[in-house]
Amino acid sequence: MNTGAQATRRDRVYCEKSQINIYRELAGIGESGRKSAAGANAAPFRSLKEVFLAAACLGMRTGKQIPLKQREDLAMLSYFNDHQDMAVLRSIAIAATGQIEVLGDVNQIVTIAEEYANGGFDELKRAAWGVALPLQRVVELFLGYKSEIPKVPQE
Amino acid sequence: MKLESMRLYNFRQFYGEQRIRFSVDKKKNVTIVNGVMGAGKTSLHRAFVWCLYGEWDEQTRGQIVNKRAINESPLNVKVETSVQMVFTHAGERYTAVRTLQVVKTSESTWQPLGESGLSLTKITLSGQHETIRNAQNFLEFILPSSVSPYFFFDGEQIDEFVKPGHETKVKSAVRNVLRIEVLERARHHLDAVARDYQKDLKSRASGRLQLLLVTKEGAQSELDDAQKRLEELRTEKGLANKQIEELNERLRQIESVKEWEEKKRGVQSQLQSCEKTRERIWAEVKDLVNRSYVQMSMPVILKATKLLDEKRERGEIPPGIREQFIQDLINRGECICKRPIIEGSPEHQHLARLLQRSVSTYLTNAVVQCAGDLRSLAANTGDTLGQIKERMVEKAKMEDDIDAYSQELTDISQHLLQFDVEEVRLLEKKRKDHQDRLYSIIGDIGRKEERIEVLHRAIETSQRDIEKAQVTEKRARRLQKSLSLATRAHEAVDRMCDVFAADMRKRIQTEAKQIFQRLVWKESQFQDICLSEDYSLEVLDRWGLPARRELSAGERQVLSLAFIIAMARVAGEEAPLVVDTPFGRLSSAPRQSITKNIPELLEQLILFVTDEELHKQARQNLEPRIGAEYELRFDQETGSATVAQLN
Repeated sequence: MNTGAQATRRDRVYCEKSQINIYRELAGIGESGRKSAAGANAAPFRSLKEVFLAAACLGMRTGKQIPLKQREDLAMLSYFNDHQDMAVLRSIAIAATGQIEVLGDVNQIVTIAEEYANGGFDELKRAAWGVALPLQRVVELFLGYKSEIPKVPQE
Repeated sequence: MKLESMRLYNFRQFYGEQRIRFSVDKKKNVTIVNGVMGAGKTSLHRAFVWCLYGEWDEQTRGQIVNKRAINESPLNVKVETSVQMVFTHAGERYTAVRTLQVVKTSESTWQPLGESGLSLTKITLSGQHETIRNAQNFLEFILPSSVSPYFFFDGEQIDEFVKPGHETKVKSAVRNVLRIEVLERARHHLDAVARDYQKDLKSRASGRLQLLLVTKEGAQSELDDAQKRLEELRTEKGLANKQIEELNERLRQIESVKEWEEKKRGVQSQLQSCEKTRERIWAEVKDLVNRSYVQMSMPVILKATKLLDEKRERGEIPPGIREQFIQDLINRGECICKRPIIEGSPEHQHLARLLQRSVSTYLTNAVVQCAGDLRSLAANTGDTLGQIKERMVEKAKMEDDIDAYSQELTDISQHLLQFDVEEVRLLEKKRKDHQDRLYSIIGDIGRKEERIEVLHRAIETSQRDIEKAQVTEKRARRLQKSLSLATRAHEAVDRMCDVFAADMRKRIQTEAKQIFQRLVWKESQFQDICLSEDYSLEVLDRWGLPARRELSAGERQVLSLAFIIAMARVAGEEAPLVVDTPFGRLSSAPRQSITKNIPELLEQLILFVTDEELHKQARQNLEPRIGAEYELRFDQETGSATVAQLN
């Protein structure tokens, strides 16, 4: 039975070390961590968080869950808002484990999301990195999945 | 070090407690311990070394603990052996004690319980005492164990310094007594340190900083040029726009093309509007793409929601009955309807099952919140991907419009280029040229801006690398200084070591020569001694020729004594000379010479002699300098020796 007590609640999200520069390019961030004027316009995503969430969704959809080998700081967990970003990560964790108990463990929720983001990153990279009009390519990638997304019955 | 007294307790053949007080009187600086063969002279002599340094080889020297004491001891009772020495050094008085305990295990066997180690206590004049920590190290400082054999030695083996192949022993003695070893250790240590620095420096100093600085300088220079060129291009762009505008104005003033110019302005306006719309749509698409992860996750959200709904439908969340309530009922052993809940009963089993299926309050809250969030997401997330699709259609339409308007402008321009008025044709030609140039400039500006961005990143990277390399370089400079210092110190110690050793060797030679001349007897034809650079101790005869091989046993002993006393005097070591059987191998002439002169050359002399060693004349020579005299008496009946004071 989970009491809800957390050993050490983590405060950041990680990615694979080899991916960090591509994450930055996709978010239009220079090596110094600042937004690059040219990069920001050309980049398909607004921040690292959005790249991570997109990669996690792609990983979940293709069922690729790959543990990190050599992790690198990606973003503070506090950047992920509770009712939307974290809710998506929680749903991934529940769907992946089939257990509601996972909700009592934030670390496990984030770890599962990182593993799916790691699994989905390659597809995102192939589509949008080092190509002309990367936003156009991301749009094409996402729209390719549209038919698989069920319509939500409106109450 | 000057010895004051010694106390033996059950040591070797000395049963019980035996005491000796050594003479510390400067004028009567000789202590004689007489004893026949087997009375315990050598044991007593060895007691010094055991007490101070713990050196004892039981295989060759027999057991330390007195056999009679063990024999008399009841079974399983400890028997203690100890040697205590009181000595003064540099104006301070010290007590050194070493103890050994054994326990008798049967009538014929005993087990050692271990040695106590050296205990050293400093005693002040006022009677206060202070235990010296790390006693053995402290004693090494007063009289190193490597030096002690030159002060506590067996007279019968003293001539080892002049036997063939003696150079190594002489060199070792000089180095130990004069503490040249310390300097040599410093020399080796500094050499090792310098090598380490050299190795470290080699791994750090790579010229990388220089290369990085050149790279950064190159990037900075290119950036300056690029920024300057960007400014020029922007000026050219402004100029080209101005020239195009002027040509447009001139064309507008020509009546016959006025209508075409108006049309062109209208198309240009439409084109600009379309381009702005396309930009806005593109921004909206980007925004939608960044929000689309919620819709992309919808299958997962629905799966999770379904799982949560199933739990809720089963009544597991939120639990109808709280976990704590069930637990309280079980603990109380009674239901709220007063029915008893006995362990093992159906009621108890039912409650236990309910408790097993229950979830904690924390998890319940988390699940309830999550279920709410997911339902809200599912209900409120619009069709983001659908919106993207719609925007993309709009964007495609807008691009078609842009193409159409562009084509219309081309057609107008083409028409003006073929106009039947030459001025119009010329103006349109110029305008078109400027327009082409403007496109080229805009392209150049884009490329330049991109290059400037790349250069900024390269400079930032270089700067970070330079800062890292500067740290390394700073360490390298420090290492270079340390290396230089260590090398210079090593060279200085090296020179100092050589100069000191050479100086000491000469001083020992001079001192030994004087002592030898005092100790040598008239009949001896050997007049001088020499300590060569390779530490060969040589005797010269009256003709100045090497004559060591011709020395008699007595002469070799005199030479060795001269050498030892010379070393002690040059080194300034304040140590007593304790000699066992000093005159055993000497004939009358050298014995008389030594007994007459040696007390004057030393601070303290302790001699362990047999009754036959001190003949009448030799004894008469020593008599005025004897401050204390003892006799070792061996009792054949008890097998024990005692120490008796004679004066």
